Amino acid sequence: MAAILSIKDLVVDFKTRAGNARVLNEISLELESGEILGIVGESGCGKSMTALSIMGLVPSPPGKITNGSISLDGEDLVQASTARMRQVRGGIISMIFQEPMTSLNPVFRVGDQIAECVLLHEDISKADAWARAVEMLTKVGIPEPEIRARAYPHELSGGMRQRVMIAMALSCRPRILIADEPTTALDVTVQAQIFDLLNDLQRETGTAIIMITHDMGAIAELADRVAVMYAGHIIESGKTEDILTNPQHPYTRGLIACVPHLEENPTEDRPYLSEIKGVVPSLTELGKGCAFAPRCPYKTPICEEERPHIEAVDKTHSVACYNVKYVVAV
Amino acid sequence: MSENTLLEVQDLKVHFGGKKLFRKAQIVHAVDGVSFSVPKGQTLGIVGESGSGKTTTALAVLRLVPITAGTIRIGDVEISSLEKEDLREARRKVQMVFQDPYSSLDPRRRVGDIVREPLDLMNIGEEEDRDQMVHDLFVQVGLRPELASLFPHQFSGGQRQRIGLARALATKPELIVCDEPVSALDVAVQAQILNLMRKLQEDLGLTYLFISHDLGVVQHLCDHVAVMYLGQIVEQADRISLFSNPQHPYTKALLAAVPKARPRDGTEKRVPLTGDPPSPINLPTGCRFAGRCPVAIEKCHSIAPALKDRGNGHLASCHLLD
Repeated sequence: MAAILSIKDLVVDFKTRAGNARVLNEISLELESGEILGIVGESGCGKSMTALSIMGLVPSPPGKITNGSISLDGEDLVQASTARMRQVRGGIISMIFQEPMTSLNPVFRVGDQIAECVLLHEDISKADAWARAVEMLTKVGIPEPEIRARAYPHELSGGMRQRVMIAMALSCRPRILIADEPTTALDVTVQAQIFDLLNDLQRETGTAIIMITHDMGAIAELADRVAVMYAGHIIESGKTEDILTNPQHPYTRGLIACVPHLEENPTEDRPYLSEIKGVVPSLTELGKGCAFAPRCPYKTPICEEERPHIEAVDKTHSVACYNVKYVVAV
Repeated sequence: MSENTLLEVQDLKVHFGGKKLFRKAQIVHAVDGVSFSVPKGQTLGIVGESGSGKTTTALAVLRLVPITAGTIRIGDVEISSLEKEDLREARRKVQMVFQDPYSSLDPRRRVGDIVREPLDLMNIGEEEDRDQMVHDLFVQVGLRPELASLFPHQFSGGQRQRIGLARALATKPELIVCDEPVSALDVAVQAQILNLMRKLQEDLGLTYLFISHDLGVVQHLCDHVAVMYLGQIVEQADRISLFSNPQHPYTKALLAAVPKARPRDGTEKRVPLTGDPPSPINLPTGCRFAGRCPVAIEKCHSIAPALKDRGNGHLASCHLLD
């Protein structure tokens, strides 16, 4: 399948009082049509900044895309005009956010908010836009959609609001949907409903999804491929199955091992959780070596000297680490 | 009450609201008849969706919300009937760690003073020894003591939660109530805090009441688990029995909803739990879960099931188990 979105060597810098912070450092990603790509990492590693760059929403100043390209079907979005980006946002690429309460306007009915998006992007009458809003609400599984379309956001539960957000994002039939931690604010049962919904919609409409999360469980549920980020770098990427069962980078391994996973048959034996020592480094103080080196249990002298490049370990799996072979052997 | 029990809660009810001037009184049944006990040195986890009453239960144990009915005993003190100075003194034995490490520390005070405040208020130790006590508390939670003169905003989320723990440990409590202590933290930091909490429990013999919605964390940390739904406990058992042999349909649905960190194999399609919990104002008659239950029968909608022992102290309330 051909890539519909391809990011090449993207660099984003932020000017801060403490100096220049390189929040994204030579990020390269490809999104194929109809796939779900997961981006995982801790807070501050650049996941959301990647999404904002694609949407052309990097706050500027202080932020600036200083290098690289984001190409949508051959068109470079970094160079695109403001007017063109307004067409792209919502029309071709749309986004749903973490907080469904703060991302809906509290003083408008949810149906109007969805219809507004359709009216902006399509030559369509108000009545038809409203009809589309109701249709979208039906599609995302909201009961009594005609009545709910007339509701205000505060009248809906968290799960319902996130469904409204998804309905709004999909109302103009975008080709790419970016979901930034769409379920973190929700209960597990509602989270499961949203996962199922995204899965069904993806299968039905063929929309490609970029799913940003810190939860490996969410990745396992949804994503076809995964990119793991750390301090502005992509340090490992590959098929979900490979990353989960055969992680190569010490950080990816730590990220998977440090979460207490739910067992179906727990035993009396409860070892302490494995920890990744230390904290994420400040982006203004990154050395020239591997960003993970100060926390890495396998570091060697070269790790602190030179930053490892991301290299393929097999056809679909790549890692940025000098000690991959060593780590695998352990 | 057996000798080992530290915390015993019986038939606790917390209702909010009441008479309105021009409207009919609306009563929110936040906690509606909850009983449990926690043995000394162990951890009871309370799980449930938002709105199930788990946080209100925790606050009631600390007497931070008015109790409508029921009794709470900590050791041999019945704190549900204490007032004023007696209550303040009794609270020395119970401390709380909050969910949000960003809003639970006073931004204008140095963290050393924050940790010292309970010592001053409770008059613990001699005044000149207290700086040393703060020093020891910092070491205990894995912070360098020289950081005591900094302000909260100079710390990361994980460090702040360590400060919250140090403050809770200051009065040498027997029971620590933890309301989602790790849910605001990144996964790597979460592991550090969970390990610290376990180590403190082993070293100091602490008892935890642990509120969480993360079943993986609860399974890792807790010895006993209570599942709450709409103000009531629907299932309660020891850790192994609850997770390996869940009885109540709600518990089963909750467990099935947790994403597994292994690749999908396509064969497991979970039974989806649809809809949201009903309003705690107009409670349904019968079983409170009946409206969302995939296996509900006619009786469930009319008669409320009782919480009964289903063998070896595994409690569950469901007509289908009778």
